[in-house]
Amino acid sequence: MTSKLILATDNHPLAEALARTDYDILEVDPQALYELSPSDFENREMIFDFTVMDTDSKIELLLNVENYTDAPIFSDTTINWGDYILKNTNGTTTCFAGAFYSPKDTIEVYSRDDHSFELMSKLLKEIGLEAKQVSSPGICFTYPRITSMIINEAYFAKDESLASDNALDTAMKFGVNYPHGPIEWSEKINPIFVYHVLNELYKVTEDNRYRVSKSLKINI
Amino acid sequence: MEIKKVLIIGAGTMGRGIAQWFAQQGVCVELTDAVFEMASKSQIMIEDSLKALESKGKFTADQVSATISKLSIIEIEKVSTDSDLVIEAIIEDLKIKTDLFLNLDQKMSKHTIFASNTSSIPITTLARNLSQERKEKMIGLHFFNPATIMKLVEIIETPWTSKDLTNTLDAWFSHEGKKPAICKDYPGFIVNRVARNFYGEAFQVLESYDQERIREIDEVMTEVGGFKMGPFTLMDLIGIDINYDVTCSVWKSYYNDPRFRPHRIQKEMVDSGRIGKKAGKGFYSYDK
Repeated sequence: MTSKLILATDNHPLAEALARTDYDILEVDPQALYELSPSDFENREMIFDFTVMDTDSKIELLLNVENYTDAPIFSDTTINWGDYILKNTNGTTTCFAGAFYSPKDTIEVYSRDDHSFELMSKLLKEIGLEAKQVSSPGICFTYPRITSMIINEAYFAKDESLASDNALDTAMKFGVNYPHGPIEWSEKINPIFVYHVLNELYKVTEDNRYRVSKSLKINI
Repeated sequence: MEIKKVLIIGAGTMGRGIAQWFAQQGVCVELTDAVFEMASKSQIMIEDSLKALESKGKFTADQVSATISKLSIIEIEKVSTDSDLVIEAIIEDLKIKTDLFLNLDQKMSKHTIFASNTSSIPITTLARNLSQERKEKMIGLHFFNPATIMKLVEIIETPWTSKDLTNTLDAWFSHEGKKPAICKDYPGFIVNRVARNFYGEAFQVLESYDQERIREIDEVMTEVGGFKMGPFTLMDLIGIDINYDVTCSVWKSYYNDPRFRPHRIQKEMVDSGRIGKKAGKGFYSYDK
């Protein structure tokens, strides 16, 4: 048993990379948070939460963990309203957006203090990623949010048969130099995460601009 | 179908770039403009650009002279009528464009393909009063600036465009090194529509004007997202006024769908004259 514990759900895209570290990994079932045991958290210095779940479940998980340990918690809030999670939990020192593929292998990290940011950066380095420090997690951070909207619009274009998938990708790569076309980008990210980001934005803002296109829904 | 001779109407930035690109492919190009001096200036600029490429070792002297020999400027009343393709790249004004195409329909050869480089006017609207035969030969060819470098050409079909024409142009541009993308004649085509939220959602993240946040969003989109430029840097380069106009145009075309809704900050920037690099001040400051 090590002093560092990773909590993970099997749907996290970094699951394989995390498995290669020497940290203890505890698989979490979002439907059975009651199964967490205080003994899992004894003598832990840090808790890295790589679970992907809706915001209410995430808060329930983090509050449970806070009950079992005083160790700082580093939580993946890619598909969550991070500001709200920080306001409603005390032990969470860091939020990060690790569930969204980055063409630059870099992820957004918000930490309440510099030391926590250093610790998070260190873990990310171990799995081949860089950290980009940001001033707040907001709702689903910045890159997942903007990219999800671009991808959703490409899927709306598919709804209307505006162009083929290949034409949509070609246009964005060679007309405005995007690193990937929106359709191929969605596949790299996994469309389900794009869907979750848009749903969270809709849930928080109740703004119809975040409604999900039919083609994206069908694709998941 | 072969494209051996092209007439480019409009010698502004886009027309000039398109003319240069075709000449570089060995196609005979006639470049004209309602203001002839504009065409003359463009010819000089093209020649200067080619010589600069030669001095950088990207073109040989022979390639430069071959390209220059393919390009001629001509007064608009005197254009040849036997071009294989006409590309209109004039001011974004529906009436002026419509009148131009109606006039060309009368005088150009029956085989001539008509194309518009418009980014905001439906090709279908430009085509609807043309002769039936010409309607089938009318298409959108939307190039991106600088046309000699950017590989994309959006090929926009109207309900009347012959499928053979679309496929032939697709193959021809591919063969010449462009990356064509065929699409229907919907507002914004592909790029100006799908890219809207690179800017629009960046404003939603920003919420209120904050210089540090602007810088941070730009950094995240380049360092994490892999974009060449962040949304605010790019808006400064394009012109915040131009970007705002495109946003409003797409929003209006989609009956005020909130996906395309412009943001208050965009309007404030335009109203205060902070329209980007060309004004010395946008989201960032620039030395003029």
